[in-house]
Amino acid sequence: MNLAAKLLCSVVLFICLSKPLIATASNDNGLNLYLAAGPNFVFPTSVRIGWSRWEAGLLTRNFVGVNRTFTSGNPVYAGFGLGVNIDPFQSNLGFQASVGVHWVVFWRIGLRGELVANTNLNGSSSAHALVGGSYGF
Amino acid sequence: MRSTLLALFLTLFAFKTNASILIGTGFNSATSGRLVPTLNLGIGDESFEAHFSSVGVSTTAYSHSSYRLSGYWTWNAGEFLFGQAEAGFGASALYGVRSFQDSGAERTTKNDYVVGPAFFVRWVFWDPVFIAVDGLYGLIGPSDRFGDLLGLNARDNVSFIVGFRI
Repeated sequence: MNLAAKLLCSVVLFICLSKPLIATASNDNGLNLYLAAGPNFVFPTSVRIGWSRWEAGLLTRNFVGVNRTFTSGNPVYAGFGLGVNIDPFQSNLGFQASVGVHWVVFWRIGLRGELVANTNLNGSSSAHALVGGSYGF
Repeated sequence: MRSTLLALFLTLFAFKTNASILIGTGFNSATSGRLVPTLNLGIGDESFEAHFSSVGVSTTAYSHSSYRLSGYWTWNAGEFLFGQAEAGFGASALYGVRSFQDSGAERTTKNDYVVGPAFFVRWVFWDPVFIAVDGLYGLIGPSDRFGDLLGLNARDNVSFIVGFRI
């Protein structure tokens, strides 16, 4: 049962990220805001202010920087960013990569989830999931 | 073990005619933040890539080897600063072996694995040279619980890679 549940979860996540279920365009034009929860639903794990395809702020836990999102007309997007780890014990420059889905569900409000991996040049790194909402101004 | 996986990896794609080969090094979170150089190999075309990486460390008291095999559907994401970004999403499996021997004691060995969705974004800043961040979001492993996954907790593995494509 436990293994079956894990497999089911893997399949659902895989389908959600690889096959867009709702084909609506994301609100990636103009000023936008993204707030997201991370592991254990700690909120906010990410707070980003974006303009067009660029966004800046707290990209994920302890990682502040600038991120470029790459969209292609469907809800699936990729992202790549540069930043600084603000953990005083691991402070260093780093990179972030992400793959996610972004659906505008109502007016300017969107649902957005992503898998994010960041790595710092001192070797510390993490990968986790973010789920949150966006608002396009 | 390492040579067997490498041979399998190369055999799978030996007949692919329009393949490009990726060779790189970097570091991997399997070594818990220590900067142990990794070997990263990849092969694929514009739409699919297979990657293999390994990292290991060995002393008289301790050894640790980690191997990872991944498959990605890839796409050209777009321009990023003065280069091009490429992205991939797929699945990955990681297998690790650790052993430890205290003085006068028998060597103890433990192995571990994790499987889950994986992704990468590669920044080709000076073609064919690139840097890449590659993440594995581990959903299936020997000690994972479904409740942890619902709380967005999963075991992760992240690679930072500097490499080139031929």
